[in-house]
Amino acid sequence: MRLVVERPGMFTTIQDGGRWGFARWGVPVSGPMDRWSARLANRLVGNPDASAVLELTLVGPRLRVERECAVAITGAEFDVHVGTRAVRSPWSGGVSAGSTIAFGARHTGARAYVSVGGSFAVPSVLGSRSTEVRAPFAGMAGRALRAGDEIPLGESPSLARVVEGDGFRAWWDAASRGAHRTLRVMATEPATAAFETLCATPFVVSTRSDRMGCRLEGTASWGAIPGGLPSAPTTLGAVQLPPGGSPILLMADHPTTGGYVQIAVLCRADRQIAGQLAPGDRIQFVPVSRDEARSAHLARERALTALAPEVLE
Amino acid sequence: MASVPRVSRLGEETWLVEYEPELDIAINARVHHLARAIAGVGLTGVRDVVPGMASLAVHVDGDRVDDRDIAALLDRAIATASDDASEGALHELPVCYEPPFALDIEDVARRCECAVSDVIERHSTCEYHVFMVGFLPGFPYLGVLDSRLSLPRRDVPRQAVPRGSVAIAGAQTGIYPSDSPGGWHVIGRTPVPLFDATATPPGLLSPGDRVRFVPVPATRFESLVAGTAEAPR
Repeated sequence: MRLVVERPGMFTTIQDGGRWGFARWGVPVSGPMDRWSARLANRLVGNPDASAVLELTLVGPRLRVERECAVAITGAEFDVHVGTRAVRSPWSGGVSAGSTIAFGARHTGARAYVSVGGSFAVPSVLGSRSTEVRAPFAGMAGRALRAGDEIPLGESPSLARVVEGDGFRAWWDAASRGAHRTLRVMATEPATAAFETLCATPFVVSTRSDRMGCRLEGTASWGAIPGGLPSAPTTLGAVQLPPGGSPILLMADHPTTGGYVQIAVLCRADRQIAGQLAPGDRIQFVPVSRDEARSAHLARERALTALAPEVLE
Repeated sequence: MASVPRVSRLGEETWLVEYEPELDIAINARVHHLARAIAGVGLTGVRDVVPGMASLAVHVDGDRVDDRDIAALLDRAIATASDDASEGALHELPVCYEPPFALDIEDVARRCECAVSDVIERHSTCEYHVFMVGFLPGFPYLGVLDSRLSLPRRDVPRQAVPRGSVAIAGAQTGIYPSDSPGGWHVIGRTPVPLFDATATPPGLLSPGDRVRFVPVPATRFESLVAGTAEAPR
């Protein structure tokens, strides 16, 4: 049984918990840009957190399921037609065999996640089903979905495990709103004057942003930016400062190493917000202490568990 | 006399160990010894250990490790890391330095004020050290390049550098394992695949390995490509 792609959307890929252990050969971690929402989508249909989901970007796909299954849609808010029902994501519920899931208008956020009970039975490559677009490999042949693709569905757990739609709506709102577009960052050590400048400057997300990095435009006075550094390891959420002065916030597909100076790192709790940034969004960086970052992370984890408990393998 | 690196945090889930920021084989060898020592301990919650030119990252799962355990692990490994660079596996890679593969070799020769044959000789006579692999899956940063071939990157990067292209920039040479944009000067191409996601390990070259380039004529290049394509996996 398969999920058939009738219309692919703008950039829809298969992502799972990510690919660890191969960065010394230059293989990026990948995985969902908004991992929190992908985990929620999995929990709502009874899948373990790291199961493969679809990540769609700005414009969603039209999909058809060949068997009855549990489906959850999380992340960015879209109007969606599920079979004959008009719903607004986040949403989860049972979908009958032959039904289509058609994405319409987008309201907030940039990326939505579609999980199916039992997940997708695409091959695991280097320990992950996440799409690596540059090498390319895994996911759907290392590329974004195309019309006509048929994604094999995994063994389905009981449909009874699905958490139905309305119950988590208020929780989702509470967990997702409020902190929008303020990104909390820690300075790299030792802290630089550039970190102060980063936190004192409003930025706009550039259209040249992608899954590797969120490119930021602003009118910062950086002073001298160090260049010609030997390439060094990078990390998810690091803010690189190229000599041109336009910072890059490193995202899920970021290269494992880089030659630009790194001035800040996003706290774990705000990765969800960063993963939902769209071109044109305005953001403000604010400093956060290590203790505050940890508390914020634990609060995000509690919010997730309040929405849906973790499903163990 | 062992140099003492700086240990710092890069956000909540990455630890950084930094030596002097130089392109130096002894420093880099120390990085690789350190990487193996840390990975070899197999501490729960350590997700990946990634060497750079003169630094190393330890990526951890913040929910599964104790900061003190990581700090102690790093202290122990740093104290014992050696700078012996002679242990890495040696790879001999055929390279065709002829048209249509050597896109920039005439330009490089002109800018370095030497003959094309000098570029080939200077590039293929020494043994290189794999400082690190990054940028793209399987892209090796090799050094140290003959200083007479040292050039800054191209002013305008190419939109598409073909897979297998052997290129130079600054004190380094590298190989594009897949079609990619790139700003280095392309002086040849190797038919040997650098990255295979289905292989273990997926990269032909690992950090700390050694490489020699063997010039081959275009006719030999074509037969090597054919041989690669027909070889059973």
